[in-house]
Amino acid sequence: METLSYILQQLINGIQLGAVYALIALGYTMVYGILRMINFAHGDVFMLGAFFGYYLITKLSLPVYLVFLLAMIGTALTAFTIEKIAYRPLRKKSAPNISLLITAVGVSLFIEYFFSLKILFSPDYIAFPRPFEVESYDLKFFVITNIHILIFIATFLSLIGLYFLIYKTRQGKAMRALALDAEMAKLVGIDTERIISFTFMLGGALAGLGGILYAIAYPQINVFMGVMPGIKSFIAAVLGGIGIIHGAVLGGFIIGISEVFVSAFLSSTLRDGFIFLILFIFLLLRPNGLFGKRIEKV
Amino acid sequence: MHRESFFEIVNISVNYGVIKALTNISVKISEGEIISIIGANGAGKSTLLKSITGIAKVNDGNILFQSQDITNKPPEEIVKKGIAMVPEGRRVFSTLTVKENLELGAYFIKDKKIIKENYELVLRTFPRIEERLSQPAGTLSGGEQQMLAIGRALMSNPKLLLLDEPSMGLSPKITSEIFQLIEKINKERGISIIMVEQNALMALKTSKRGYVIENGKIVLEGSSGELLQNPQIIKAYLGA
Ligand SMILES: Nc1ncnc2c1ncn2[C@@H]1O[C@H](COP(=O)(O)OP(=O)(O)OP(=O)(O)O)[C@@H](O)[C@H]1O
Ligand SMILES: [Mg+2]
Repeated sequence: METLSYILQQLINGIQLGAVYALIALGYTMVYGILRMINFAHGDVFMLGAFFGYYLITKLSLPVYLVFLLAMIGTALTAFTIEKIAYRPLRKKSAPNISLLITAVGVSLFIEYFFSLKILFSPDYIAFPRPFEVESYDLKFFVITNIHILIFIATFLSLIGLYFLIYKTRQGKAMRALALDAEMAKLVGIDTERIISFTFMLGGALAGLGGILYAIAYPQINVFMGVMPGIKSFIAAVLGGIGIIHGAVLGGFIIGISEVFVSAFLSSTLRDGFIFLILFIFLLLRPNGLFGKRIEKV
Repeated sequence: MHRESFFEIVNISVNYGVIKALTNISVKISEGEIISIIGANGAGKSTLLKSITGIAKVNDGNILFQSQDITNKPPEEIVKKGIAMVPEGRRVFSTLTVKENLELGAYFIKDKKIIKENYELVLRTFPRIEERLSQPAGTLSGGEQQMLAIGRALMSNPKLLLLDEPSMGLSPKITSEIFQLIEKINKERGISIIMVEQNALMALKTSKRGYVIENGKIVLEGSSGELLQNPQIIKAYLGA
């Protein structure tokens, strides 16, 4: 009984972490889907979400829902700006994907070190003030907190919203068309640059949400906090089949749950190494990821 | 006096890097007319249509549509002006449903009523598409995909329709069905059509006039009747 409830407890914690990874992974996969590029700066957008949340709470002491809303708008605009300044000019020149990739790495390093400046976020670890008191509810087999509940509900609602947007709206139809055939999308009159901006903003908002939720769950923030979750979420996206929305969601949960279980039952030092091992074995079995069918045309 | 033309390509050249794909090409079409452009593999037929839609960059010369210079305008602007493209290989959005593909054809149209009218008209023209509306477009047969690609283009209510090898990979029976539909679209709706084809016989039989393109140059032009009688054409394209 003891072990069972311990396992259940770890599962709840794993789902919580996985939800955050899923939110980040969606941005990687959507951008990959339409541009075939890896936006390496995406993990830093997640970090900015946490910091925007921090300032909105400490400096402006706004109500919780406004903190979320404004931080997400902030990261959406950040992602929009990154695309506009760093990636679009290269795409206009039909730069090869490797140039875009290295630019993304550059943007990532720039954000991390620029915001490390003492007058900005500083390189220190900062305690994140939770916008509400933590409450736990003992459900006999496991304990669930209001943080768990917040993360589950926020992620669930975002996923429903995202699915509605992608599969039921005109904008979403344009996104899917662009992902399949950019030239044909233009030929039917889709302003593809606008859809690309929109996709970055959508991914940015979801990463920003992930950033605040993560900071609330693990309340210490730092300019480099986006690096590992960024890489793990990217792994999640690849694991699920990059470019495939539900693949990123499932991949996020697989990585989050595995990470928590490895920490709990094996060793927390091995945790990150294990994630890569999972990816490696997984890709040997399914080279295109869980839901990926064909080999990508390059 | 120069009469305003409906659509005219004036002396255009297109290069892909050092490759000269088109040299000094001029093509004209009047309103309601249907013309064909024939030529062998690699002659530059697709490039010609791509230069109209803004996919291929025109290095020299002009493209005029309804007395507007549309040279090198981006594709999403061209379609709004009333020129719709049915590209080589149809290029339906394979994982989207047939209905979604049609809706995307009218992407830039805001008026729901007009979209609905176009939609009903397209379904009446292609009843075979109507039975498959909720199916992913990639699961349609080649002929059905061609109909869908034409239907998608018609959703934008074009004045000029560009067809790149509509018969590609289709059986003779389906090919003749497609050509009949093309003729019908031209006759009943007065839409002007520029058709690129390797199937010279069918194309010339369907169109009023034709151009023959070789190595990026127009080498012959005339009424379809004349071209069908031309010994050079018979030898090179009609496989007699
Ligand atoms: N994107 C491109 N980059 C470089 N060269 C190109 C490109 N597209 C076409 N070409 C070249 O331009 C020439 C004309 O090609 P185009 O596709 O217009 O021919 P086509 O007449 O449509 O042939 P087909 O009947 O095989 O479709 C060819 O020599 C082709 O190799
Ligand atoms: Mg061609």
